[in-house]
This record gives sequence, C-alpha cells and structure tokens, in this order.
Amino acid sequence: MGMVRQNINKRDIFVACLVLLLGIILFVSAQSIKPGAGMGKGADFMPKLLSFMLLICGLLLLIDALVKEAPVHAAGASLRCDQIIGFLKAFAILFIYIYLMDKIGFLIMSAAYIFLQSWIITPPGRHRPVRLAVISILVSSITYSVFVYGLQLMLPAGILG
Amino acid sequence: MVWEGLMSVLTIESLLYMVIGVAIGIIFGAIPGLTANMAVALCLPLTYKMTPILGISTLIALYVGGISGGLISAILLNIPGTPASVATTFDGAPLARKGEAGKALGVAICSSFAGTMLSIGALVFIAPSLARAALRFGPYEFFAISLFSLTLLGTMISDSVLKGITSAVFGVCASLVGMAPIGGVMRFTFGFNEVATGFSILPVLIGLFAISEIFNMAISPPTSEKVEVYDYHIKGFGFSLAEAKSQIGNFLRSALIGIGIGILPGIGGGTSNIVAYSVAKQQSKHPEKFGTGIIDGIVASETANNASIGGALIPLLTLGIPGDTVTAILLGGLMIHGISPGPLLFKNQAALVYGIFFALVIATFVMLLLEYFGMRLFVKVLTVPQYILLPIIIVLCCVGTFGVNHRMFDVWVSLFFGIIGFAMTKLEFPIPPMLLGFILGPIVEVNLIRGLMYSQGDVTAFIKSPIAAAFHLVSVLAVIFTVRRDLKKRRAKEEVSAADLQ
Repeated sequence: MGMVRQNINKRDIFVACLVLLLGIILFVSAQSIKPGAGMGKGADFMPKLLSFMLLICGLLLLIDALVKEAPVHAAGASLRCDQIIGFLKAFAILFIYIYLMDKIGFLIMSAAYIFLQSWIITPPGRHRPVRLAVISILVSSITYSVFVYGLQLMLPAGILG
Repeated sequence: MVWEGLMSVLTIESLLYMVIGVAIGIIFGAIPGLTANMAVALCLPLTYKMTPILGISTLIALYVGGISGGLISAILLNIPGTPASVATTFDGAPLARKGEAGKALGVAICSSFAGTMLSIGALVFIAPSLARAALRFGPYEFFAISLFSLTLLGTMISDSVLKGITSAVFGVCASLVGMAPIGGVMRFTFGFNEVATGFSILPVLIGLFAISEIFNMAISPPTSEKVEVYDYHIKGFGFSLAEAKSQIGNFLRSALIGIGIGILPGIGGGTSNIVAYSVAKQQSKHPEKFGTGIIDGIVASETANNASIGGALIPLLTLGIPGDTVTAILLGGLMIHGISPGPLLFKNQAALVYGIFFALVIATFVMLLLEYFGMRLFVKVLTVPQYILLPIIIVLCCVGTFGVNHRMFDVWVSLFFGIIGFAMTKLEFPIPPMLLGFILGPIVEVNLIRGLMYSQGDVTAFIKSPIAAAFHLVSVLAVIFTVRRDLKKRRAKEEVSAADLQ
C-alpha cells in the first residue's frame, strides 16, 4: 500500500474492474457449455481458459493503475457533454439507417443517411444543403445501380421493390 | 505452372481490374482517414462473382495502391494518408516546403516501386521453402506461432503491454461465438442461428476500423480550415543518378527492415516505415539533417512500407497467418473464393500462387505509372472533405457487410463491433491485436487442444519441439523487453515530473 500513488487514475481502475467483470461473466457463462463429443478437452476448455486470462489481465491492470502516477492530462480523457451528444446522434442515425434499410430500402435510406450524417459532422459555416442532397441522392443511386445491375448483388429494395 | 500462373493474370479483364484496383487503392491511401484496409474491405464484395485469381489480383492491386498512396498526402499535405506513411512526412513535407515537392514525390514513388519489387523477390524465394517446412509443422508449432503473433503484436503496438495483450484476449473471446471447432457444441449464440458459424471477418473488421471511425469523427468533427496542398512539378524521375547511387545502402537496409517486419504476423507497413526511418537516421553521417527535407528519410520510409507488402504475404500464403491487417482481409477474400492459404496451397494450387506473384509484379508497375502520370487527378481527390467522404464510405461498408451472406444481421454485427472499437479507442486499447486474436483464435484453440490430446495432457510437450520452443522463447523475450522499456519510460517521466515540481 505504500506504493499506492497520490494521484490515482480512476479511469484505469474502472477499465481494470471492467476487464475483471468480463472475466467473471465469461467464467460463469462457460460453466453452462457442455464439453461435447470427443475425447480430451472439449468446447468448454477455451472459454474457461480465456476467462482466467481475463481475470489475470484485469488484476494486473488494477495493480498497474494503483501503482503508476496518473497523468495530468490523460490522453483520450472523459468525453465532454457535447461529444457524448455527438456520439449519440451518430449512433442513432446509423442505428435507424440499418433498422429501416430492409423495410424502406437501400436507395432511400442511404440517401437519407449520407445527408444526415454529413450534416452532423460538417463544421459550422460549411453546410450546403442543396449540394449535399444532390451528392446523397447521386451516390445512393450509383451505388445501387453498380451493385444490383452491374454486379448482381441484391440490395434491399424495400418499398420500391 | 509458372506459365499457367502468368497467363491467368495477363488477360485484358485482369489487367483492367488491376489498373482500377491500384487507382482506387491510391485514392484510399492518399486520403487521410481512409486506409488500404478500407479499400480492400470495401472492394471485397465486388470480387464475389469473379474467378478466384481475378478476385485476388484485384485485391492485391488495391493493397499495393493503398500502401503506396499515402505518400501523396504525406508530401503534399504534411498529413500521412495511411499509418504506413507517417515517417514520409518527416522529410517529404519539409522538402515540398522548400519548393522541391516534385523531387520528393519522384523519390517516394521510385522507392515504393523498388521496395515492393524486392519484397516480391523475397516472397518468391522464401515462401515455397517455408511452405515445404511448414508441411512438417504440427499442433505444437502452429500453437506456438499463433501465440507468438498475438504476443508480438500485443506488446509492440501500443504503449501499454497489458492493454495490448488484453485486446488480443478480447479478440480470441470474440472468436468463441458459434460452433466449437472441437466438441461441436454451440457457444454464446444466445439463440441467434445466424452466428452458428461464428462472426464473419468482414463485419468485424469494418466495425472495428470503419464504423468506429465515424463515431470518432462525430465527437471530434474536422475544423473548417482549408487544407493547403503544396504545388509540385516532376521533371523526369525527380532526382539524379548520383542521388540514386548514394541511396543504395539506405534502400537495401530499409527494404530488409520492411520485409522482416512484414513477415512478423500482425505488424506491417505502419511499423516498418518508422523503424526504417529511425535506423536510417542513426546510421547516417549527418543525422542532424533528418527532418529538414533530405531524400534519405523519404527513401527509408517508402522503401520499408512497400517492402512490407511482400513480407506480409509470406506468412499469409505459407501458414494462413496474416502478416498485417490488410492481409487479414485478403485472408477473408481467399476463403470467400474457396482458397485455404497454408502449406498445402503451394502443393495443390501452385498455378494460383504463381498467378498471385505475377499479379503483384504487374500491380507494382501499374502503381509506378499511375502515380507518375495520374498524380494531378489524385491530388484533386484530396480536396474532397472528409465529412462528405466518411458517410459515403459507411454506406459502402454496409453494402460490403450485407454482401457477405445477404443478410442484415451482418450489418448489425458491424455496428456492434463499431461500438466496441470506439470504446476500445477511448479506453486506449489497441484494435489490431483484437482483430488478430479474432482471426487466430480458432487456430490457437484447435492446436492447443490437439496438442494436449497427443501428449495426453502433458503441457511440457509444447516446448519439446525445437521450433515451438524457439517461438515461445521469443514471445517471452518480447514481453520482458517491452515491459522493461515501458518501466524505463515511466521512471524517466516520473523523474522529469519530480524535477519540475522542485
């Protein structure tokens, strides 16, 4: 305990605990795996072995976090509020795009996705809605045509099918 | 067989696809934020309907173009187009700033060409012998090589050895999903029949590398500042014969570094360019000139990163173990076309192997010609903003992942791994070890269990084989060396902080 530093890196401790938790979850889940047919080690061997490895890694990460000095400004430090919102927006748009692609169709959803996603990550003052709309529709149409008619790779047609 | 291999790539269709492949690869390599990985991953679905040799030639052309393309933005924008061109910016951009961008480009292009050709020579001469030797490898050797690959990448790729190795373990865990290779039992499928055969590599790769990137961009949007491109004019090759002669030693050394690092599983051009640059600087009579715009730095970086191409293909073709992340996707491409890389490939499909060698040579020549004569076009592409490009890339990624098995499930898998990749980046876990762990997981499991079966549970059997013991020893030494290096760095940092406080 004398080696525990003054400035403890809470994030590294959190990461270590996360890895330990994953190891425990994997170990518990592995108990329900049957070895299966055959002699010697079975299907449950590797999950159990990996769970031990995760537990060891987690423990070592925890010791490392407690022993080393926390950096003043941690690289990749906690996300700010606006960054969290940015991530959630990007995730939501992508989630909705994938969810609706099968139902509404690749052509319409891809055009909508390119437009909305570009809009979110475009720096302020550089938004060009008309140009972006044209690019979105063109790219979506060209991609659909190339893959479906050119390469015979079927894409979800959705409501246009 | 050699003639058959050559004829299989000398068709008009094949040459056309290779030219297009190199051009697309150069574009992806040139644009910062896009990589050779993405180029190969995105174009993989385009090859589904092609014959195996046509598909593989196209992917190889993308690979060659993608690795080389990074030099364009490295020199003209001072931004590396790919991780393989980081060291090119150190002297390429300063030389461009001095008004000699044409010379920088000429030197870089020729170095890329020559480095690739030398590595192809190494591939042609080393691979068949290694494949013959690998035919005698058993479970102990394959387990040792896989473990060595994971350990090496896990220790060398990031600042934290522990996080690198943990990342590799995560990857092996991800490979557990689906039917167990031994025992035939379903694991961690949670009732989803779609994962009965495990996750496909392409959705995992696209999720970890491409989709996580859109999340990174969403939290750190690009600034509105316009990027300045240095003007250039290439006369002839851009450099004199005397300058070329002065670089022979540097070139050969950098090529060997590139080939050697390329052979090491999991590590490729991203590492070799920096190592070669550092060595060139150390060995130079004028190390103080490095960073001011001398051709030595450009030669070292561009020779090494392209030499890694042939090097990375050696373990892929002979052992089925990818030499870097791009060859990991190539592995997926080979398997989609029904080709299992490994020692038997040279025996059973020698014509295909020679076809791959010739495709590499042709793609390299195409790369040289396109970069010299098509430079203006590639430079124009650099001006397309990332905030427009990246969503388009994501749409193409979704097409690619959907095309693997024609089901939306794979697209959801790529989103899932995209979130994992993003979280790993924020928590400073490196991603390449996870990908390699995912690819090598089944090999590790099968050979470990088989080895234990043969030895009836005796673990010492794994070090009784001299080859296996050698690889285990190198793995242990790599860990020890890296831990020592990290502890030294940490002590030095703490001493500096303590001195500052005083």
